[in-house]
Amino acid sequence: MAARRHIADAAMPSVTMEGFAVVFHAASGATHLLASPVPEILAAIGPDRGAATPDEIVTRLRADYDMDGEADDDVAAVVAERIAELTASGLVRAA
Amino acid sequence: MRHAIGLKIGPVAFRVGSDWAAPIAALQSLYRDYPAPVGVPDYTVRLEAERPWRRWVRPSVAVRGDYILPEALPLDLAHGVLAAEIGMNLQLALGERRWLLLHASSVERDGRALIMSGESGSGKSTLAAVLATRGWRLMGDEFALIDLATGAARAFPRATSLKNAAIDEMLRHAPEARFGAELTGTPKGRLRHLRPDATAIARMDEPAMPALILFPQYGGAEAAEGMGSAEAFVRLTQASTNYGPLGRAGYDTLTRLVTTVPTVAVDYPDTATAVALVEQLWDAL
Amino acid sequence: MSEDRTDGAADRAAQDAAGSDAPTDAVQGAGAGASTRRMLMLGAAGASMVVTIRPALAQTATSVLTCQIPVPQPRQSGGWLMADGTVVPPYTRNAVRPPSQPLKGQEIREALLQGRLYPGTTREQTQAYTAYMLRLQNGQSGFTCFVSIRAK
Repeated sequence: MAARRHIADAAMPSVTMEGFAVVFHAASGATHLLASPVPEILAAIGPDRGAATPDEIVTRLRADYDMDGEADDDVAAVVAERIAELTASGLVRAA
Repeated sequence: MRHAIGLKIGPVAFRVGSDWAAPIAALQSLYRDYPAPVGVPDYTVRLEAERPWRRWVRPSVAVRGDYILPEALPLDLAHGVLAAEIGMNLQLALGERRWLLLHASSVERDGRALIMSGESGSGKSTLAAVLATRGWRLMGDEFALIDLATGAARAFPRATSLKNAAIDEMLRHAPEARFGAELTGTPKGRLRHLRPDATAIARMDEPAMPALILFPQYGGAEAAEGMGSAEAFVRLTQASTNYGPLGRAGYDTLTRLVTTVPTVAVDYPDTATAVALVEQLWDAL
Repeated sequence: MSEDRTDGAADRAAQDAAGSDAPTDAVQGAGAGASTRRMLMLGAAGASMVVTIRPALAQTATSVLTCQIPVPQPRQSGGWLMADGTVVPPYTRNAVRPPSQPLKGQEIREALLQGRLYPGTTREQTQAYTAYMLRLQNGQSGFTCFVSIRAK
């Protein structure tokens, strides 16, 4: 079964406070606090970068961040979990 | 309504109507030094008898207005001025969209505002009232209004509602002439209103930029600890009655507030300690 | 007390201590062209990393539902309504009877968004009540409530 692609619901304003990204999601009117690596994952599938599968997101993250100490499988598992959480919050949708 | 009064408190104009004269007379007395409102009121509060005959038989006051709490129990007529206050709080808390509202007291010095956020019992109202006797201008005891465009705090200096021991405390700092009648047996216990001093009333239209946010908690050993902006942000969303309905404007205003203004959590055993702590923290800014 | 500074590209605009806290775009491309990549912490498995702000007062989330609008306002109590929302004496030709109770926020919202009729009313009555509310001015009973319903 091919993995699903996901994309951020929209460009969202974000303010960083002590390492959290505080974002506003206009469609729902809700405010969320996101801890790493969630903001980075969200940025990797922003409207300007397009939808991606978890494996593709791993590739994008590796290009942008130093993750040499982490195995692909571990990263992919974390990404999948975070995508599920982001989807449940409405910040990300399947595309 | 048979009896009514218009009130202007800071930038907010209320009209309070009542089936009975007594609550209106009490409000007239508490707000006698305030300028009369001009034009249409922002909010209307009605103190009504639940049934026509309840105006005279076991009179009890149902608080009505644009916004209601369907489950709210009516209040004794003797506590009518408290009913009016609850009604005004409710309309403001639920209906206001021009400013971000925070459950906080605020005082001003040199054009800058100290915002003290807390639940009932934190001591924020008493602290503000005491600071107002020590050279600070009282801006408000219950609600801080933050301008959505500029981030400035607007004053909302209503008559301060003091409960139980706070009444006795404030009688040590302010002349009795500034106190309203004492109400006993209210849902909040003993209650007495303290009228703001002449300066607070005269300058109630002057905004001030927030410079320090405190989360005071009465009752512990003296302590002061800086609070991170993320925690301050979350706590203030909980202290706001209209953060959600304001949408993007609320988000922009509150994120700007917590990232530009330092926040400190303060524990204090007594008012004198609290005042000293405030002066220390303010001087250190 | 002040915000954290990180070097993530998504956070750059939020770093300025002088208070440039203009929100940056959470989803703009990160790190493109950065000469050193910062480390990305993956976080603990099973931990929740998204905290959603919940309204403190149930009332603020449902404030629309707890507000109500008397039609017409008490000062004009007993008046009937024309299709354009104006208030006229009872039994005026082509006017409709007003509701016996104030209209509730939830009902008004459903009427506006879904075209539902107010409970126990005809289409003409519902349209007249809505037209009445659209004409409300600041200072009239129900104005604030109606504005907040429409703002949702």
